[in-house]
Amino acid sequence: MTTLQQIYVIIYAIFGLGILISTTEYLAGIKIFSSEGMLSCDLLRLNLSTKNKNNFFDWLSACILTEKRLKYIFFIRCVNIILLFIIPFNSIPGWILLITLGVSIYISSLITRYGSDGSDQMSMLIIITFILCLIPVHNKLLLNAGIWFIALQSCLSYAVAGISKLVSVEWRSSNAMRLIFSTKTFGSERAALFLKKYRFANVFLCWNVMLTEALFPVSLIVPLPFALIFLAWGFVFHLLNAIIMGLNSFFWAFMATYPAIVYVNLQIHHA
Amino acid sequence: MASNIYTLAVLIIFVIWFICTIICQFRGKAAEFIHKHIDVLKLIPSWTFFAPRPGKSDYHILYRDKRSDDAISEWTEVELSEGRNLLDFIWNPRKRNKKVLSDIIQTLIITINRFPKDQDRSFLMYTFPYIMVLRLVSQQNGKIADPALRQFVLAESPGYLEESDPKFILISKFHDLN
Repeated sequence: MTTLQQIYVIIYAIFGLGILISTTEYLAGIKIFSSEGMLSCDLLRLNLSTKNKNNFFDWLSACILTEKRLKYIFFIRCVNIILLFIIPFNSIPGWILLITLGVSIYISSLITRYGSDGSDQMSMLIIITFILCLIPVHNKLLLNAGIWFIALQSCLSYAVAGISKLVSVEWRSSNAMRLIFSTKTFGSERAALFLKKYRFANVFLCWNVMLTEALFPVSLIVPLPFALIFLAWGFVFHLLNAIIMGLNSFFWAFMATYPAIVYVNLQIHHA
Repeated sequence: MASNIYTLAVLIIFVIWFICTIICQFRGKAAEFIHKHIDVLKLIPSWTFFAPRPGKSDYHILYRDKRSDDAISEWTEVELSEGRNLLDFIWNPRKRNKKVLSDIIQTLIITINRFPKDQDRSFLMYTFPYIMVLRLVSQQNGKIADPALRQFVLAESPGYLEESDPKFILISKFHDLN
């Protein structure tokens, strides 16, 4: 196995674990798609067919949009993810499994237009890259392009998040973190009270997040030890987001992109 | 030969996808064009997490019932999971409920803000987020014997610190339960 293929294996190890957790979360919360749920299948069918005046979407929604069928899809997805830990991607069965996983992730992205987040978007992007680049007759250029694409999208995501915070008055006035942490949806009472008591912690956290996110793409071009500082920051940042905000799926989706960033960084420095 | 064409096609897809992603992070005609005509599969991500406006409110849905004799029940809040468990950082199946509600209400707020305050807002009843909330509210248990109509309210509150008062976002008409 070449180093490039090993990078794909490492990315999948992290991504696969994250998507497995997220799929079991869907299974545990399957009631959300029931007639009493917020994403009731009847309504989703109506929404899909009115928004997309397209026979394909009508057919797709008629085929899959029942609570029971979605349950099967998520269960099959779990099996699919586990099989991909065993079966090599560069075999035909491996590639077919990647396609079925991609289709299943795409279906859930269609039906959770409300309720999806950045981790779902990153997961979609990673699985499509895998499908396109790990085609059984792949070559080195294709494998390289996929790694570059994942690394660049990851760095872009941090930069955009950082820059859009820098232009926000609430972030620059160092109030944003306290306000977010004070919500029951994404916050924590302890964290909110701490930030209310210590103003300097607000300033530090807001500016730390804004600047490090905005500068994150630098991790591609600085020498690796400096790049690792950004990645270590990202690790701690996503871990704290998971603990304090409950955003566990972001941790896996974004950690999965870090091997690609390290690879691109090394490639740039050894060119 | 076929392999080279495929590689070239994938490279072009990646370049276009990446450029479109950059353009779509800004609001404007180019982004609108891409969303409408190029991103037919809805694959272009939006990376502006918690910015420029951070989510600083919790959202609530309350409802009340009315009988045919005009008797009206008290307001009742639709129970949505709040707070956090210790293990949520590993496995958090409840997070999607909260995110769905937050997305639905934010979409409604955006729609409401597009129109002048004095304009009749009955058009909201035909929007998908409104129908989703109405559907959810209709599934709740009645709070009065033989309810005929149900009304709901969307409200926001500042959460733990209670630094501002709760606010109404939308008060619906009474909807027929039958």
